[in-house]
Amino acid sequence: MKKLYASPLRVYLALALLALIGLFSASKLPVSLFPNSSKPKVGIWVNYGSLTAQEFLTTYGMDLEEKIRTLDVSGAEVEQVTATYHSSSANIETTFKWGADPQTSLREVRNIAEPFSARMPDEVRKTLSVDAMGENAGFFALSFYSRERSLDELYDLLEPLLGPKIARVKDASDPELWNPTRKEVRIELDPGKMALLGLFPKDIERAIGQAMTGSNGGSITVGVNNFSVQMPRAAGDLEGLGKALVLTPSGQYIHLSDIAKIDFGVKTSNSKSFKTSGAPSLILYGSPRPGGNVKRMSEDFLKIVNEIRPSLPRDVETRTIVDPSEFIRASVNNVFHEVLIGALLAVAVLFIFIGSLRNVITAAIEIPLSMVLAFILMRMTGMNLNLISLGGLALSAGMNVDASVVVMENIFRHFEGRKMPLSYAAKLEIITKAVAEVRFSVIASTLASLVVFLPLAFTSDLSYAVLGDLAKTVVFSHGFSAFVAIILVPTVRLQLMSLKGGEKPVHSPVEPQIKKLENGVASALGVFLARPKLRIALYGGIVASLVLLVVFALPKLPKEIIGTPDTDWMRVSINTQGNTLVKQMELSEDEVESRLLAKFGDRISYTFSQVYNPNGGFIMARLRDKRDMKTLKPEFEKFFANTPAIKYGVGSWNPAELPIPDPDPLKIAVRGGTLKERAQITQEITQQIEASQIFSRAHSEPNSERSESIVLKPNYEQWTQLRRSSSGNLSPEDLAELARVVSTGRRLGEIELKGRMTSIYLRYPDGTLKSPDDLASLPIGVGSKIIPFKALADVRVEEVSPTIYREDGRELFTIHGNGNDDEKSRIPESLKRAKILVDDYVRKNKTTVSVTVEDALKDLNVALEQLGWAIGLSILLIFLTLVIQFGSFANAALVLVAIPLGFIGVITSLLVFRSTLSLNSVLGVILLNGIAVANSIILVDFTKRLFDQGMTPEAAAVEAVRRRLRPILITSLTTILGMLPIALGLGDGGKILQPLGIAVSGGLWVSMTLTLFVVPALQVAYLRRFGKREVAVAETFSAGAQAAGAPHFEFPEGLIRDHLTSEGRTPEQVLQ
Amino acid sequence: MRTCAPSAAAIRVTTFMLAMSVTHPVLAVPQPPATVSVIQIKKVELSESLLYPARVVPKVNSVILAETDGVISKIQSPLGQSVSSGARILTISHTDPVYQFAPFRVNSPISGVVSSLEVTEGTQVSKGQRLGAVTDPKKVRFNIEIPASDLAYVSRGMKGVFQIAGRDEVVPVVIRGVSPFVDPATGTASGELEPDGKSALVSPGLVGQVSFKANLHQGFSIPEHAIIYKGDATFVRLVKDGKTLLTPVKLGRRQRGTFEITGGLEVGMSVIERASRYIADGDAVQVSTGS
Repeated sequence: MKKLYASPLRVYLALALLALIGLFSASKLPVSLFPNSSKPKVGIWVNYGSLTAQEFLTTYGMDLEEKIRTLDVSGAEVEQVTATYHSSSANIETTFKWGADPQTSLREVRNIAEPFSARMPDEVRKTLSVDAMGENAGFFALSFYSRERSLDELYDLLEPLLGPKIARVKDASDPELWNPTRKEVRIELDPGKMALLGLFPKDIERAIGQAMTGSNGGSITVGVNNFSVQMPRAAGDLEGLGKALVLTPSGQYIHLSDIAKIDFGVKTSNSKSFKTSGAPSLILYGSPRPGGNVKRMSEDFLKIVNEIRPSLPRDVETRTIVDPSEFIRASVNNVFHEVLIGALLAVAVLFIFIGSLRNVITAAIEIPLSMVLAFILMRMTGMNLNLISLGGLALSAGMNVDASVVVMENIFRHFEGRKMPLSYAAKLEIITKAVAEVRFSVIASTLASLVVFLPLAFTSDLSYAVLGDLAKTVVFSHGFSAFVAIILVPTVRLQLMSLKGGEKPVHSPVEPQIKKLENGVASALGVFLARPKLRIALYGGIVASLVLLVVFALPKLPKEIIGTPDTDWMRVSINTQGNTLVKQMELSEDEVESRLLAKFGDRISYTFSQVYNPNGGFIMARLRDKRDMKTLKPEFEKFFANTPAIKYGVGSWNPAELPIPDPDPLKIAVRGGTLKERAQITQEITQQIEASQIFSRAHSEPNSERSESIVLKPNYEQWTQLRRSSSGNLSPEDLAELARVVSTGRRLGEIELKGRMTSIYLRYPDGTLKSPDDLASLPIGVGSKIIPFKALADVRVEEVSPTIYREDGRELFTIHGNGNDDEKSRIPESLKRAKILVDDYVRKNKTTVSVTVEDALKDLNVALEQLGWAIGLSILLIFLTLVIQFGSFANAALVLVAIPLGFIGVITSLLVFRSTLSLNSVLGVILLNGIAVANSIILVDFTKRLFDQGMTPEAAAVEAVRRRLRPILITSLTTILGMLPIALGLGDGGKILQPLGIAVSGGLWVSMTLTLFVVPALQVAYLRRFGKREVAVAETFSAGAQAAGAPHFEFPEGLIRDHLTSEGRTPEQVLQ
Repeated sequence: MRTCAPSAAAIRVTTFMLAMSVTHPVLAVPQPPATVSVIQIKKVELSESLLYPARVVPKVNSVILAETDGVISKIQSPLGQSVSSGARILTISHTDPVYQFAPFRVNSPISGVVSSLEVTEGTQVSKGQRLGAVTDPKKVRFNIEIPASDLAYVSRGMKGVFQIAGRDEVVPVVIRGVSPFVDPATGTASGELEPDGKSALVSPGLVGQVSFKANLHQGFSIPEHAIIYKGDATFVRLVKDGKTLLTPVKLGRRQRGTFEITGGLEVGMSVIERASRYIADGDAVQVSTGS
């Protein structure tokens, strides 16, 4: 060590090198919103055609579910298997536990499902597919526009450049450059002519297929030339397509154009549509594939756009509309800024109390250095830079200074009273000795404060998945802080000592004010101790508010697993009924958008709207100011009240990466009885929940509402007589195919037109089918007759059997309820009302079906409960340590009083700042306990010592507060101010860590203030009654007692004691 | 800045706690009533609609056959030419020397339009060969095929309308006759229709749809989505004095998105068609006037 301190260059170089590696690691750390944790979900999809849902379920489904449920592979444990059996298809979803490997999970399910499918009929097996499922809400959108080009021209320019590149973006599913004026080839069949000629869609398909294929006529070699003989396909263009030869049942060829209108027009098929700020433009759109990383996908798209930008003409402009990567980076940067601001505030506190800039810097250098060094370990362990790991850095920033301050203080103390100036060798000797004294304790105390995170390892997967990164970063960075304190601080100190004026003791710039505060608080305590009524009132107030808060306020706190970052995107979803075309929905959405802009236009920067089916779409509005979100959301919710025709949903938009469960607060399970009974009861209760406004939105899973479908039943008796022509007979499938082309149309592949691939759609004229009656009377040519469709097959509207839904092998329906933001505070009450409603329903209807209100927030509640145990465990550990340290249960108990005082602060500030009971706020409580207890230890220990030295209990308490106020303030204020930016959500910072910040800073503030009065008062009462002076103990405090008895109580001595005693070590151990 | 000032927050907490300790269940916050769109019930003429594809065929169509062997020497009336009865259509020159190559005139047997010509000048024809046809485009009839199950509803003299998909004009038609024989191959019996009245702006050869209204009667009809199902029972929600009332109804025939209501409704009742949310019986609702 001595050698090390004597060669500062080596130390600086080594640390600089480490810092460089750290910075390099930081720059290479992947940035994401949430930790690199996963909870994979794998889906199996299968279409069972002719089997009924029940048949498929009993024959195959049950076995398959069972096989997956009992899957036993380490690294991929199954949490739940749910299965939904619709009328003709099923999907089985396997949810794995937190931390399961996505690849293994997918492979394991595949390994079961694929061999299993060999048992199924061929037609069913072919439809089976297994894939990872994503719950990603993010998507990327970027618009291209030009003043000089039409959208088609722009598309022709961009598509060849972009198309192949975006297709290679791994994380995206079906990315596209969407052209609102994109055209398609539409072959619109004339129903009359089709019937007259006795044609069916299959005849047209065959004709087009033939027209699209060319033939090879071999080759001829003439001299050195080899000529291949080709017959190019007939349908090279639209005209050629019209000339496609259709063979009629009478054996005659006719042209396709004779029976169909062939159009090259703007796409009208029912796909999606986008608009930005109401204007159509070319849009590069991509959403992540299941399991894909939305940030990486967006960055890839941006990179591609930037790559091709130089080759684009000047008039082509781009605008990023929705970019989750920007959002994620901004959120992470915000939190990073908050961490930095917090660290600066902590440094400012240090300066106020220490006074010398040099010393402050020596102590504070530790903050960035240990952060940067932590990045190295983060990179080595494959972590990423996310809101949670940054939270860990924020937490450790305040704690990290302590080690440096301890080392510095001990060095100061060793120089105290020595005659200056000293030789370099003497100084080196003293510093080495000083560091050696505290080296073990600094390392031990650092280790001890890291052990606090141990209970986290025993909590649920969810807590660990969410908070694990936080614990790891604290361990890394705080671990480094001890290292830095022992190596760097003495080296710097030694050099500073050699500088001019480096040897003088320095005082705080606000020394008189601090003195005044010390005296003020001490005399206030004196007054407090002298008035029993005041004391009783305070005790009573504390107990009453604690009881009230725990019994009434705590359960009312809204619960969440973890907050979401702020966003400036508002999303309004729009759902209608009865539309059949995307165009209709576009009109409705345009109207909604103009209303939105008329009302909120001045606060919206631009909008992005999407229609994804004829009855569903959404408008995303980017707010000019993020801070408007809070006020605008309720306004939006009010403005977009459901109307009979349109149902709205309002929410803020956030591209989530981590499948953090966000369940609806109400879950009711309906089990037993027959499927129909269950469906009916589910439907009624769902409606009653919404009707009684217990929750303003209720739905069931699966949908329990009566649903119908059109059923075609061929009249088979008559088909034996049916002859279409000599060339081939009709089959019932032809009827289904006809119905399909008439209703939804059929895509027949692609044709290259003008160098661009264009889809070909076969369809009937719009409006051919307006109701099932139209299908029944659709003309069909059989022989020389034109007969209605219903002559061959009955067309009936029938009720469809309800969907079967199973969770872990049990059939049930679930009902879910949720409401607007303003209903959140009523959730516990609403749950009670829901329970009463269910009980009433069951009683009134005397049903045998079991209807139970279940714990919708089970994951969260389990996690919170476990964290609750972790709190209990940490308190117990603190207590045991205190008992060992003080050798007295009473003193240990006195110290613990600070903890409930902290609870008052935590619950009150969570309530006042409308924060939530979340994993973060509970973690805040664990941290708070340690810090709060430290304040109380300082007081109890010091009072006891003064008492042992012969002071009266009152005088001892008042004196202790006067002398110990400064260290209490310094530790508490660095922590409170370090956390303040996070607690306030300064700037437009992320809300994700806010509960933690609020819990720690709010709790510590209240705890610190109350501790200054309550703990001394209780101790005085205890000492009066049971107090015996333990002179012997006081004597053993040799070094410590000496310092304690010193007339001028300089702050650093205090700090070391506070710090070390709070870590569970006695002063003797420390100072040996 | 926090939106919540500390003093306001403190008051909030205090009132909250007071409310907690005094009344346990939180006062339910009154919600605005659901808005609904309603239908006023009135008697309307209802019928069962029978739809069949129909094919337009000429009523008067004369096929012209060659009465002699020869060569077409001249076509006087080309395709599409209007001809009156007895007008010359074409001329055949005899090739048989017996007739001394005399021209043989082929005249139209009816007034109409030359609707097909299967020969050109110079074509050699033999006796009995089909030369073409003259059709009266103003006189058409319609052929329909009636599924056996519908035969009971369809009878001679029944009136309906003919329409071609995508066109606005409708042609009133009347059933002239229905074959008593059901073709086993198609399960249908043929029916023949005529325009009811003079105008018939449809050309032979087209295919359209004929609709008949059978079982004409007065009754109530409401959209399908206004019906509420509870098991097998069916209901509608009425608005009575600003509140909802669940009323059982009997459903009749379903047609084109509507149900005939055969029991449970009276003239003047307001039936809820759509609501902004689920509503319970007796809830106050607001009737929306907009679309």
